[in-house]
Amino acid sequence: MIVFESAGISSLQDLGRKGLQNQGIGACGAMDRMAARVANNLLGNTDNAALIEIALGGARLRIAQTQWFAITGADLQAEADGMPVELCRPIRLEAGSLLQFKQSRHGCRAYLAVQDGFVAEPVLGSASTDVRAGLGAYQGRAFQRGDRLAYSPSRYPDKSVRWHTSWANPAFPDTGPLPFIPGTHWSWLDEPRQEQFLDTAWEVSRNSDRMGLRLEQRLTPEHPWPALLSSGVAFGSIQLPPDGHPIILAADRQTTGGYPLLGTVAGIAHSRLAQCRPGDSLRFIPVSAADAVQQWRRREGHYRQWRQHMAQWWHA
Amino acid sequence: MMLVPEYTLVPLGDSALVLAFAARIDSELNDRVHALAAALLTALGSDRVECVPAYHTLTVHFDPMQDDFETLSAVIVGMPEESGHALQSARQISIPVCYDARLAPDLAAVAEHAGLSTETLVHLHSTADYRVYFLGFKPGFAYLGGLPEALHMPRRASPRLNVPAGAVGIGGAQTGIYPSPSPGGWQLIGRTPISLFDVQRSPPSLLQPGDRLKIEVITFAEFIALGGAP
Repeated sequence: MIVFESAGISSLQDLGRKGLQNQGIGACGAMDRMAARVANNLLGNTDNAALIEIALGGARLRIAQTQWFAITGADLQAEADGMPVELCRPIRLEAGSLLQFKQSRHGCRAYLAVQDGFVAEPVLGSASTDVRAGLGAYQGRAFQRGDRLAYSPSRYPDKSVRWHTSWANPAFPDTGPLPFIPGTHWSWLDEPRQEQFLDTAWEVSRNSDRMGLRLEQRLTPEHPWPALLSSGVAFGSIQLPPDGHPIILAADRQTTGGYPLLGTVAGIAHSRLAQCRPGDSLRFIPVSAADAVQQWRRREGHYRQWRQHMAQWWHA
Repeated sequence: MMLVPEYTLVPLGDSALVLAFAARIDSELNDRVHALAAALLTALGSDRVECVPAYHTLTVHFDPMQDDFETLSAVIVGMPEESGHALQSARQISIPVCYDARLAPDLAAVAEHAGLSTETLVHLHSTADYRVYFLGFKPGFAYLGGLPEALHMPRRASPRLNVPAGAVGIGGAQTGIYPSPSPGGWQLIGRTPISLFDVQRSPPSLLQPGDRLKIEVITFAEFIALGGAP
């Protein structure tokens, strides 16, 4: 069992709800899916095992039972009993130790996975917490001080680890412009405004959350655009509401939206979005859907090889 | 006869695409959106695609390791629409709604805006034939068509922070029922005591696309008797 002595902004997540968007039920799930999958795979878990997402630090957790853990995603200066914890490798934490996430040195959201996953009864097929809808295995809410989460006892108390991985490791930052696939209303912008969108270093607003990243600067069409009928949206979809401040939709987005869509950030860059902090700056570069898919497949192919290797390392 | 494509296909990033008919709220067009969704699910299976119908669009989410825009577009274009079992159509759902002023804080304002008595407003709103176009916005929320034009009214200037579950509202040309408590800007003219969304139910939403919705007017006492909490 793990006990929250303080929770910061943290919630139980997995890879989200599938196949229910036509019921108005959001996909939800970990913001940085790659980091969540890596945390699980480092322990030989399945991609979808339930884990803890911690935003920006300020969380203290007491480990009640010795087990293997892994931390990926943001560098939140994790410490176990005051000693720095290495990211992106399996770590064995002993019963009674205190795991602390201080504040962000790099990135926004860290993932804490435990071997065999945290025990959680899925709601609508997923353990993930959708705070707005009140859905999720942990009472449909974010964690609070005093909350407890169970996990299984260790099957491999005597393994030893002398390595870490570069997957989802904040020591290997990625700072290029975000590739996006232009969308239905991109061509509604005239050329100077398309250039303005591409030339701006957009600043991530303080009002950003799991629902979406709001951007500080404005982009105002030449003439006001007509009202639209609501239509489906995706993770990374860039909306342009009438106030001119773009919103990039994220994990807790609604299933449909009614604002014009400039485009959608390519899947390969979704982790970058998830790791944005208020004040960070973002640029965009257009790519074709075909190129984006090709890049995704290349990376995902490598990733799956590594995943298989990890599963063998633990369970063979 | 020449076949003119009636819809466009546009990528929505690299793991989804949008099929769009002409932008209008039209029940026949919406029937076709749902028929295409059903046909695609039948052809490819729910493990491979997730279909999100709206008024005039169908968004198809897919796994880019398996599919991409080009290949799925070809599947869609080559697909006979009739192959989908369309909506479990013509389901008639009756929903009890109480229009008592205690549950309808904006009833008088909407009546005044429409230039009608509250009795006429309630009569018009409760005798209209509504259709569920799709579910979206939040779990179990149904986008309804069929609100009489006389009752169209803009949203409130400032949204309420807490709209109770079951609240019946008007926002522009739309009417709808809040399935769960939430902030909201619609004009509230009544409330239903029944639950529209329940995770224990399958599907969890009471209202489904294509359903026809009738309102049964109930008194405040009946609202309470049916389990409503004022």
